[in-house]
Amino acid sequence: MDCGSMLELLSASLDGELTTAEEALLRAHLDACPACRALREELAGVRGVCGEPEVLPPAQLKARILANLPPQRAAKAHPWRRWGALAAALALVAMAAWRLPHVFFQAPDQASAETVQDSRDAAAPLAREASPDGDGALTESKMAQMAEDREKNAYVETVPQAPMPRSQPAPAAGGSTALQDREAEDPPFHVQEAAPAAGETGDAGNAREAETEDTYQDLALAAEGADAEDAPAPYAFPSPAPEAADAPLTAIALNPTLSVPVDFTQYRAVITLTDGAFEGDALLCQVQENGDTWYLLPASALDDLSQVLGDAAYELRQEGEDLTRDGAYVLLVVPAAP
Amino acid sequence: MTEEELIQQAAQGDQDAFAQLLELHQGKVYGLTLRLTGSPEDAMELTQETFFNAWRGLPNFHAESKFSTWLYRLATNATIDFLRRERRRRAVTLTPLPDQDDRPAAQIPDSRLTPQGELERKELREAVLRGLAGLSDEHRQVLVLREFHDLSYAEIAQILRIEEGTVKSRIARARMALRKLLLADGNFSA
Repeated sequence: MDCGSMLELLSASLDGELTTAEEALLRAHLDACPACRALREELAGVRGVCGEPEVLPPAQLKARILANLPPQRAAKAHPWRRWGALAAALALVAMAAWRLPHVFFQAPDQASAETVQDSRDAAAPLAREASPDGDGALTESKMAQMAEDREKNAYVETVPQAPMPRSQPAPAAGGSTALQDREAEDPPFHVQEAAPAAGETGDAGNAREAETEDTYQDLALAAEGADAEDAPAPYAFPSPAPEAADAPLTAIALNPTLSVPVDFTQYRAVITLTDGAFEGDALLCQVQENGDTWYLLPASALDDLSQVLGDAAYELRQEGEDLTRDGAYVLLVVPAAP
Repeated sequence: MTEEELIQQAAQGDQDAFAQLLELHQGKVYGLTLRLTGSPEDAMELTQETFFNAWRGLPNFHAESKFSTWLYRLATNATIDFLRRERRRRAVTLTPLPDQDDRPAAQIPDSRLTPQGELERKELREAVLRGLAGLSDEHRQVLVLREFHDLSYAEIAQILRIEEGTVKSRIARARMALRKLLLADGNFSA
């Protein structure tokens, strides 16, 4: 039997992470292979001398931490969080009952009139069930409150309002507002009695069924002409003015009046290029003192990274308490050439 | 108060409750960052950063994982970023750690890397600490989490956001890489 293929089993056996079948397989091999037996004992020996997890830190560590605690982030208020799965499932059922008969069986006008009323009746008790407050709906005022909360949490102050080299609206004013509007209209789980089109477009989006989403949106626009105006506009990536697009990157990079935020809490993600070059557009660019180049990208860049980064290889980090899910930006780090 | 209660209190701004959580967990976080960086100063910084992030994010910690798993994740993220940033700025040489452990001897069969006497154990332990410095960041991470913190493959997978299968193979390769370093390190007796 091949000792190389036994290595993982051998290692995992030290950690008690084998299935019974794997144990049997390993035991059979070890019975016949003194080299692997010896190896296993060596690795066990190394394991045996490793220390305890805790190491007593210097005495002043605790005091230093407690003395310098940053502001706590407000808890994101999603009353629907616990109800989310239930609400989403029920909303989808209501939507399906409403829309699919329309698509497959009936003439549009007739279907809308009948099924809209039916499913509004159906949706109403579902909405009441789904909302923990019992008042059955996420009203406009609640959505406004959510938008306010997001605004309070958005760390955009340090991005300067000065005109950008590419003649775009300053992201602090234009970009984040648009983003907040979109997010206010499109919260994760959202069941409403009124204006089903706007709300359920959001639900459809979150259901992540591309084909059905298109169908729903088409139907929403067709059947609910008036409500279509309320549908949230997609976030528009500011396009560079023609002359600014040709500005050499070094000119932007050396502009001392602008700086890419160092505080990671403004970012939704951090991308580090591991191979290749970045030749795309960025809101800001700055060369750090260690030679790395930092690019400020809008968070929407995450929607189509391969387009933004081309063939470059990269590592993406979206997790971590130093980042924020509402961050309006993404940081792209292009390390200095070694 | 149970840890759960401490977390709830701290999430609402109670700094005394947070101080107790700090007491309970700072040793583990400091130990982890110390073995990942080899530097007590850097471990101090990283432990602070971990707990700053924990305090900041606590209102949105909803126990999808264990609290310690969450802390470990914050710590490893902070360390990964730190090593990447600092490595560019200065040559980060992970310094081997002094031996701070004195576990009683266990019964281990005879072999080059399976010491019999206390002296041999101590020497091997020191060699391991030296060896950690020679490993790649990825190998060091999984090995420290497994061997020093006794975390399961599932927990390590949660912390590092990788698949369990990846944890399994990475640990196996890390062990072999460490073994190679130990054998090349002439300082412990055969």
